[in-house]
Amino acid sequence: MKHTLYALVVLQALVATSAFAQGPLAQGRSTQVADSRAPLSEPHPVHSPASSSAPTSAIPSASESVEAGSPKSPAVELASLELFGTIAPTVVQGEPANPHLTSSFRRVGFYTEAGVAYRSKYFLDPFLSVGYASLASGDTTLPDNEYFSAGTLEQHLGSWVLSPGITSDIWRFRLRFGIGLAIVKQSFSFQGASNTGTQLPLVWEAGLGFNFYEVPRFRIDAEARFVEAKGADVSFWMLGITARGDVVTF
Amino acid sequence: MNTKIWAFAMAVGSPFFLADCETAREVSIPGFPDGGLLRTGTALEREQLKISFEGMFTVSKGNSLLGDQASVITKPGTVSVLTNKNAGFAVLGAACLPDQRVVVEGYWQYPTRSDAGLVRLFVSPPEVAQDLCNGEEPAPNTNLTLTGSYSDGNDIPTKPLELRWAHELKEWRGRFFTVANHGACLVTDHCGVSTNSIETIRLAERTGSNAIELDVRVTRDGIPILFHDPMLSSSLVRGLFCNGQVNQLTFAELRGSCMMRYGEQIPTLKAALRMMIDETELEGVYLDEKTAEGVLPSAYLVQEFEAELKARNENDDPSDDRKFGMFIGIPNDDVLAGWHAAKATLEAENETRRNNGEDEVPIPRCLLEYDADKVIAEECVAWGPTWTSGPQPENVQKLRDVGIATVFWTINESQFIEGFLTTSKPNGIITARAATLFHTYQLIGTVPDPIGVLQ
Repeated sequence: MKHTLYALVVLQALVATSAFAQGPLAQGRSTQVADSRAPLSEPHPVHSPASSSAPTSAIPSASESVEAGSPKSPAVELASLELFGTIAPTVVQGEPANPHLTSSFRRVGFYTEAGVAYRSKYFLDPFLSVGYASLASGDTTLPDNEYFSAGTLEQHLGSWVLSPGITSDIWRFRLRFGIGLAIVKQSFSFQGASNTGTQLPLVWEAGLGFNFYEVPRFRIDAEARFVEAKGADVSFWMLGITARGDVVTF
Repeated sequence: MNTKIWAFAMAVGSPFFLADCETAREVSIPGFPDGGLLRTGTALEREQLKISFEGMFTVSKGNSLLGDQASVITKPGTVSVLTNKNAGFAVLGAACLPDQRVVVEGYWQYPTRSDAGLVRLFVSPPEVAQDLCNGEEPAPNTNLTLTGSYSDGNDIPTKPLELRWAHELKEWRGRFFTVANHGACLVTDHCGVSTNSIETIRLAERTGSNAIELDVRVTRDGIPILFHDPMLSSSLVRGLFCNGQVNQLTFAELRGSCMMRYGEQIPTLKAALRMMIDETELEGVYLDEKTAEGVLPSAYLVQEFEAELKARNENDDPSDDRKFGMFIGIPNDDVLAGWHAAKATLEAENETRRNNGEDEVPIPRCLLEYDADKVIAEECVAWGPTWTSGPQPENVQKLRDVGIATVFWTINESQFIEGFLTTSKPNGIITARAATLFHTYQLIGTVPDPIGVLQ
């Protein structure tokens, strides 16, 4: 429940940020750029390397081509700084170590994430994201032992994921790939004593999103993603919603 | 568009190239359906196996499996055939059948590969088999042959295999130590047992080891357990809730959340010592202390078991006598500091005992891994240098002259095993290829002089 609330707060912040980006301060640029990825209705002059390194008489510059009304004039795309947030249910892979002693086990969890991306003029967009996943919990009944008396061990597995990466838009699909660091965190409670252990493995993630809603400066995708922290043997799938808004275009 | 897809595919594919390939091997130890002929027979007694089967055998058929010669040793309930071909071994049981034949059957394996299969042999000549079935312990001679066949996988054995007894083995019990490197096999082998598990200790003995090196760490609540790495890495353990550092979790949390790679429980040091003393004929254990915190709890356990062994060996019943050496391993200066602190504590406790008129409890013996001179200064009984520093025959001899044993770690390649056996003539070698080491020692090794502290 706590994580759901966090996710909602992040989403709300994103929507607010996006609205701010479309407000009076941003109007000057947004009137020029209805969609930062779309070609401008009024083509801008573009500086061409050819104009400085080769005789202009031999190779006409892009601006000259535009001025000449050439049908092959390049589409101009503007870059933007984008904030995004994701909420998603997760399914973690793996099994508890002692299934015969495990009295309850939950493998469906929840993931929330926030990040910033640079939507470049090129086809790869770098991003940096931070997310937290509450992945699994379980109860294991331990029998009497020389070192402890019988009792129920409550276990919880969560993971922070800090991941730089790249995305690429292909039509309405968005591919995503990242390699970063996870902080895999497990918490235990046994006979009234609580304990937490952490591990810092490398993590990689790959996802495929589909953009199903888009207005100027704001987009919402459905996204499937796989995340694996190999060193900790933790991997999970998620299917969630990603909201993205441009805060600055340039 | 194509450029985009290719570029992204390469980016997405890169972790698969970067990822480590160390995953749990597919392991299938072959077995006879319904337990084979052993199930229908009467198992031979321990002394029968020891007296009648041990020796160097010439392989007259089946050389492609075992090479030209094989060492045969026995343990309670098993006959092991050891070779230096692919570090191969066979673990067999022996039983007298109702028709007075003696069958010796089980499985063979090359641990470094996925090759394994079944072996079924019969003792000949028939008179020897009959003697064994009559409960006698016939001494082997060159007429003794083990004749039968072997197979690949779970197929019924059909390929001819014959071993003929050639001569007795060189003395090794109490003299030369084939020390298993935290178990019978490497993590990447196909043995189907996890390193530092109870099961690997049992297999180590059957593959030619007469001592074992085990890695000791302590849990958050101070219980010494057997585990090599500081982290609960997926190469050693499994379990969704089994992550983090070993010393971050209590023993209850480890027990509830982790299993070893092949499904065994992470053993406590106490359980491992108990098992080795009660269920094996191993002659010693070298406790490789991974942290300074583990030294004192390990030392207490050693004191406890040494007291028990002393009582057993000094009572009137010789049948429960048991010689088993336990040594605290010191791999670096951090652990050495822990050893100093532990010794001070144990000596203070002895002081209290003296004042109370009680018997002192001996301080455990130590093995120092790195500096030959420090071994003498610290009054340790053994030196465990890394093989990468070379054979160091002068240091080996210098320590031998003052009654200190040398056990090199960890040599797995046959050519290096041969080199160290012939150049250094150590008291033992730590290895993950016990079959190779044992057989090579039998072929070219020199029997070391006995060292009192190891007896």
